[in-house]
Amino acid sequence: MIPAEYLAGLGAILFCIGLVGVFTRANAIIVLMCVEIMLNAVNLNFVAGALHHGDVTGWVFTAIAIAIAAAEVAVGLAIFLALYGEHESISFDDITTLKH
Amino acid sequence: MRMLATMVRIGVGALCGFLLLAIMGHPMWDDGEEDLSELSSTNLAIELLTDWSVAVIILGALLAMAMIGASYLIRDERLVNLLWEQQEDD
Repeated sequence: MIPAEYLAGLGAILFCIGLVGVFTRANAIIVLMCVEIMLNAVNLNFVAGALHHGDVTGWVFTAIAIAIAAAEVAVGLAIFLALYGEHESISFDDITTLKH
Repeated sequence: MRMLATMVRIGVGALCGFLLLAIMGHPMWDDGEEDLSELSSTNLAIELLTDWSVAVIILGALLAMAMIGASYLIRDERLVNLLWEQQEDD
């Protein structure tokens, strides 16, 4: 079995990859994907904690976090579609106001 | 802008190295639980439906609200689509 600290390390690497994407990319879809990578990195840390302590609570938190991530993606994509209809672009360089 | 992005990449790379050292080198990992028999999908289901049942219900309501909100956001009220829907009914 993979040791829990390696899983936690992989989670840290994934979190940093997501962080780089959020900070450096302008395309809204890519930023949303990077946020999802960061969320999954946190989930991986929960799983590592559950594995290390032999406690199923970490899995419960992971299941809840996955469901919340699904809701977030649904709303995020809908917002991007609405933004595209309004501005003809989903680049954060072009969208500078939330005004209608 | 490009230079700023490069600096961010370097900074996050340093953060990644620090996180790896801090997380993987923590003494917490030395004394792990040997008995992993509790980690099963059956126990997960029992836990979700007993101790976390209220959270699961709230989560279901949250998901339903998110779906309704998303479908409201992407509604398309262009005349051509409304006419097309009316033709379907006829």
